[in-house]
Amino acid sequence: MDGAAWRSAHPAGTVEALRSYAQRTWTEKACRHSAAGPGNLLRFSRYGAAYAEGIRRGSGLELHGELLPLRRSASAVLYAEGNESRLPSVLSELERLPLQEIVVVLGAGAERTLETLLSYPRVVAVHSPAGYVSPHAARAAGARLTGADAVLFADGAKPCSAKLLGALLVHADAGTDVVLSDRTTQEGAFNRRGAESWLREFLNVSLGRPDLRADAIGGVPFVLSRRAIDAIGTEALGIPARAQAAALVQGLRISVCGTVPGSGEREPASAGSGHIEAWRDCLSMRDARLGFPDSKRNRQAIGGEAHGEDGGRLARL
Amino acid sequence: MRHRTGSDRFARLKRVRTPVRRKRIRSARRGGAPGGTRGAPAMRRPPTVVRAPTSRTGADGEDAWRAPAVSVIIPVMNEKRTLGRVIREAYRIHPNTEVICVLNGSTDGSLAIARASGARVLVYDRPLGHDVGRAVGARAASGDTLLFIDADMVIPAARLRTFTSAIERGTDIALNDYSGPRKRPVVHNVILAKHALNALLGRPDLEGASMTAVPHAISRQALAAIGAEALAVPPLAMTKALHAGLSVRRVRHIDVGTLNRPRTKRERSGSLEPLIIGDHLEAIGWWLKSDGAAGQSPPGNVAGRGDGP
Repeated sequence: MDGAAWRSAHPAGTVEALRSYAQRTWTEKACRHSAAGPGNLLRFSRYGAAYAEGIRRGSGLELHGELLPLRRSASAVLYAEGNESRLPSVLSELERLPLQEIVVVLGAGAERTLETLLSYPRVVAVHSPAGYVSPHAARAAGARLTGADAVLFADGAKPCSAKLLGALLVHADAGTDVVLSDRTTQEGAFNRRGAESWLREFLNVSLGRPDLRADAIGGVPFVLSRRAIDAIGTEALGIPARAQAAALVQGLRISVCGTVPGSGEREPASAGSGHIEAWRDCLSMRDARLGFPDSKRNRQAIGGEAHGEDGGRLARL
Repeated sequence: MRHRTGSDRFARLKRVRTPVRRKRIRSARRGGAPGGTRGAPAMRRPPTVVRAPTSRTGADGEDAWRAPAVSVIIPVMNEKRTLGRVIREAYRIHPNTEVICVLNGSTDGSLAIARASGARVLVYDRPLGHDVGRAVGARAASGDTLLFIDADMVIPAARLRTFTSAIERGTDIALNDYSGPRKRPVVHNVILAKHALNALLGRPDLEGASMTAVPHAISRQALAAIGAEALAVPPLAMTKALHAGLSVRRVRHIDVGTLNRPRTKRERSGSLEPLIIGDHLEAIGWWLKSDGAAGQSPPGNVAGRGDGP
């Protein structure tokens, strides 16, 4: 119905104009429907494809891409290094999303890729001949260049469907500051997950969010709200463990979008040192046990320091 | 019955059912005279019953005293069911073994069993809290090797000997190679904490092995390096040991998960999980303060390099 009405009002309208119209009307509908709460918005957003199909039929024009009920602006940041052959397929999925811009950060030796990116109207390419210490540092640098209300951090080496990436953006638009993909499930049994994953999970546990398991900022794809980026700071964003600790300590709203799998990007060897920095940050800000008290030990019996409410004088069991 | 004195009298009064008493007496005898005709070490060595606070020598006289090769430290809180058997196995580890029972808040008659066994007994009226008994026992120990076991878990001497032998061969800290059930997507947070700390300290090969779990043995040098008081917070002790460059190894798998009797009372009164997680964080905090991370950390502008387009 909306599609036919638009067609009769704009007989010479382009597909681009139709898309922006459909995106706008879909967001309005979703907002009206979700006045009761963000949960409704998430449920309603599932019918975007059906609405797009209606627009397509009514207007008689081909309508590509995902319709997302986003009230605020969104952009994407990705890092492409060494595997530029995958970049076109990654970008074709991102092009299907209603993004303000797509910041592509290129590593050392990617001069030729720069030219191919010129054909993408929404792409902003950043190139550093010196390269970056890690994909996280590269994406952090890219995040500085965008002022959108939500930033999707994507893997530049492995395409992820626009539908899944769109789900992350919808969650962020509904009020979540940090929307993570689920990589813990993919990592398999605990004993095979490895040190980096254990450290990520323990950081979450020690900061009171065991439900996040080993999912954390840095595991692409993920979305940060403007509030989250400002609170964490782009410098800390380059060290994911520090960013995660900052987000948890500052009480940002963090959730895992269980339907979106992690891309499986390999962590750089320096990941463990990031955790050292993260614990240094939060142990210097809070007490030595981060609110996990030792109220039962009689430490004075061995000449230790007093701990607990009673100063360790009395053991209570 | 004539062994019963002091605070144990209260326990005797409480015990009214005859069959239970008989069982307890039998286990006390077994603890006191292990092995019967085989002539176990406990029979040959003089009983060294010492009440807290104790002296380091703590024996009958200077002539009779010689430094034990192995000190076995057993914290005890109402463990009469297994204590006698646990002490008997402890004495079998080495011909020159000192057994130290740290009774804390025990009211069930464990004291009589411990005293009758010939072990050195340190008595605290109130519970010391988790792991503190081990630290107290270690401070009083005289052996070259210190073995820590629990009073509610009977582990045969031959298995325990693996830990003390490892110390004799040069290991400083011999850990139970027990990581808990971990071949699953979600593990207990205590198991997670142990793996994470070992990984952070650069020893992911230790997996979930930890001084939080018994049995484990340490050398006298290790005790001197980490300090007895640190043993009250086992992850801190482990961190101090690794920081001091001591040799820490997993030596043998003892499945304490199945040996440990269900702690229904403890589970009701609150899980140990927050305590153990806090212990691990305390250990990480100590490590960071003592610059343990200095060699591993490339801090500073990780994000700062290669910023511009």
